[in-house]
Amino acid sequence: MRDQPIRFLSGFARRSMLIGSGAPEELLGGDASSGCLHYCAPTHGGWGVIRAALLVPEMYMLFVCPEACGRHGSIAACEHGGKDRVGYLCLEEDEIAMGRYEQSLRDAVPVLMERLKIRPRAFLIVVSCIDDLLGTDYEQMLADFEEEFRIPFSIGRMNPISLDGKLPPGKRIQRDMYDFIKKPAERDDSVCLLGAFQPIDEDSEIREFLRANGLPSLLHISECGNFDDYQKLGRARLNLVVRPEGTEAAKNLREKNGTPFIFAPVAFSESAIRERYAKIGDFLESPFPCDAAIARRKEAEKRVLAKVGQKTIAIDNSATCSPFDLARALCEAGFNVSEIFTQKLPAFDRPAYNWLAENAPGIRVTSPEHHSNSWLRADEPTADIAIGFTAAYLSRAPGVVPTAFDEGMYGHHGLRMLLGCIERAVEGLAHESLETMVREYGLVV
Amino acid sequence: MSYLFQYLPPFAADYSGVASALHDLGGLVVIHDASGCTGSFTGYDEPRWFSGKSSVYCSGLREFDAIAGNDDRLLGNIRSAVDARDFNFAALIGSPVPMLVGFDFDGFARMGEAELHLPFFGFPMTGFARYERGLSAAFLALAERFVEDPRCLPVGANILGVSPLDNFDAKAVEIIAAFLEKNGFPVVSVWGQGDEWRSIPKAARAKINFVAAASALPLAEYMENRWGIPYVAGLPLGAKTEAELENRMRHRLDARSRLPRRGDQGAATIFLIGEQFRMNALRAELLERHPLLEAMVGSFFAWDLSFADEGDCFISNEAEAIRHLAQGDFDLVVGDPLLRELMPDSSEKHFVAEAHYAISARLYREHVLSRRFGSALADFLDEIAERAFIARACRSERLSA
Repeated sequence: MRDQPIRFLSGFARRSMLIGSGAPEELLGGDASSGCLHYCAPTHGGWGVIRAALLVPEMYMLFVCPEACGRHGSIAACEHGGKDRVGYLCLEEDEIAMGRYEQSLRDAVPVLMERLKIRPRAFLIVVSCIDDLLGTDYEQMLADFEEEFRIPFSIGRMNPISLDGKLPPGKRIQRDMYDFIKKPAERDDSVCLLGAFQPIDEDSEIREFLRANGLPSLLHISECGNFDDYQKLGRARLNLVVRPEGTEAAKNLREKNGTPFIFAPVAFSESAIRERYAKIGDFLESPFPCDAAIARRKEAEKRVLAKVGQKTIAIDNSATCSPFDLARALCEAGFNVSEIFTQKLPAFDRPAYNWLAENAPGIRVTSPEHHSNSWLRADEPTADIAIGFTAAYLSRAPGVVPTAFDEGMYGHHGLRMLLGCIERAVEGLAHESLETMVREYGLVV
Repeated sequence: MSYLFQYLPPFAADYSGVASALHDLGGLVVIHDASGCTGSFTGYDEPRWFSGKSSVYCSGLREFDAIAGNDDRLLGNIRSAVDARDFNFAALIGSPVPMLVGFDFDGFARMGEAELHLPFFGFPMTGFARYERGLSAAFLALAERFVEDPRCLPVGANILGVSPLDNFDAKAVEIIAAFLEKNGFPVVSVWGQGDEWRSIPKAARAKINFVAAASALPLAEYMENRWGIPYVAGLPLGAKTEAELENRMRHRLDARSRLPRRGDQGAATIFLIGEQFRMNALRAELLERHPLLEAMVGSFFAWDLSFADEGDCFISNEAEAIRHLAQGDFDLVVGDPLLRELMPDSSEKHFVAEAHYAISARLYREHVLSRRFGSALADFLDEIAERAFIARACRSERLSA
């Protein structure tokens, strides 16, 4: 395996390979991504900038962009009940060419503030890719707005043009979402969850552990009923980052408010979970007791394996940020993982990749964005069970686990939740069509 | 000048129009963007995407590419796909960032064609215009490039402009085809959807063009000027519109020779907002069945004055729509469900929903056009009329009180 990434001029990215049969960079990561046209599966998308930012209560968002750039987010806002909290200032070409962009925004915000039936407590102006090239300076304008309207204003970016940069839109929007949190006067006994789009399930062992260590509240932004509740997130003694999208927000809050953070991304294998829990235990100066959770996990593994047997399982990286570690956990429990759909290999999932390369070399890794997917998608199922919408679409698996973005899952309990979903998929309880499932979930580009 | 959308979503963009027009034709279609524009098309504007196998891709444009050019990478990636599979043509479609940096689409297409030995189109879309411009541009490009001069006597009809962005589904196209067939015009080619690649070059053999949506008017005019093919415009929704279209086809009447009538009895006034030809057809059927009504048509999209009557209007944006609805004194508005919020009184009783994909995308995907043809139409017309009369009665009561 090579240590240095391979740089592709163009057209040489691979679609698929058996794990460990070549350098992962031929398939995974930014260089491979730039080496092919991108196929956009109908299951493409996630929380998007808009759905994520709508988690900030009582905040209004104004997108300032060409009309086209606002379309997908606006439909998503309709689907997710946020329509009244989002507006669009659609720019014209001549305004951009003549540099009247900034004045248009200065004119529009007061008009909008006047019209809004519910006065927002915070205001996020979101600009698109073109602003990356224009380099507009918003500082003075934001200060003027804050003075005039007495609420915080900030700039957010929906700029996929920076996807290969250090601050891609997924991370940047979380940083901007939490940037409205002010430095707290005092701390309380809570931990704030960052990166996750949903709270961790109530029955997770991590909650029990935190409670036992004097931290009874594991807060999540989606549970904040209003902007005051949202400000209370700042009082947390610790920010726990469970998906990579939250890292920049955590760094910003540490710098701004002095809140320490731990990056312990969702994991599934015993060894990776042990490593995550060790970090949390070190911070609390209390070892994380996992025996009971592991025992329950083993029980679930045994029960579900008896039903699933050697049915083939495909996994994708929309279901979890750690698809390789999930594959490892399933393989270690005796399941038959056949394919992983992902175009990324983040550092935290690399140990699992290496383990699989050594111990499960029959697993195929396929890039869901490679152009050939449009014609190579099989007509018959290539897996029995798919974990994630993209794996379901590309493999045509009859059993679908409609899990997305690790929602609710963490630690050993997270794996048990997932096993329960696999069980239901095998029992045919998830009988809706994939299109219906995807539609109901409301993936956002 | 910039404009605000507070209640409505921004509409389907020009690049979605191009991609939609080319979707079924077996080409390699690349939207030159970072991912959001392609995602808008595949995830929101294209109902065929989920079950289709079309090759519409994102170029994966990144900041460095925009600043440094890096056209070789793009061409190399296109070459890689072209080497792996046979395509009928290739097309590169613009979006806001390439517009901003002045990307030369014509030049790139020429280079691509020379390098790949494949017909190659460059569509300098910008994301600042709406879908109908993209549809028109794609239709024209296809006609200019692929339609062959006829070498036999003309026969049949082309169906132009049946894009899913205007809610045309396969069944609606079948209904139109059956109508043409019944009138002695077997279908030569279909523009807007359907696996019709092989029939596109034969389009100039048609005796007549049937224009189903205003976005296809530039194509119809091009074909009239170049090959002398006359056209009729409209939709055979029911008996009235069928008879009118039959008359026009039979007597080769100028498509623009007779204005649609808005009605003048004024027992209740209705404003129909949507694709111009679709709403004209709906109005014709409505006034035929309920002659006491008066109806005006408005649209945010392709608009041709010669198909409009007094009181009809093009609406450029949300603010203009709000103004028009406030000043229009309408008893009832028919339009996309999302337009309801623009009403001075947004209660259900003044509004009848008729979704338009270019506005509400996948939110009301089951609202396909085929459900408005033939016998199903009568119930819809009666619902509109009944609601309009009730609304007028309520208003009169309020005024007298």
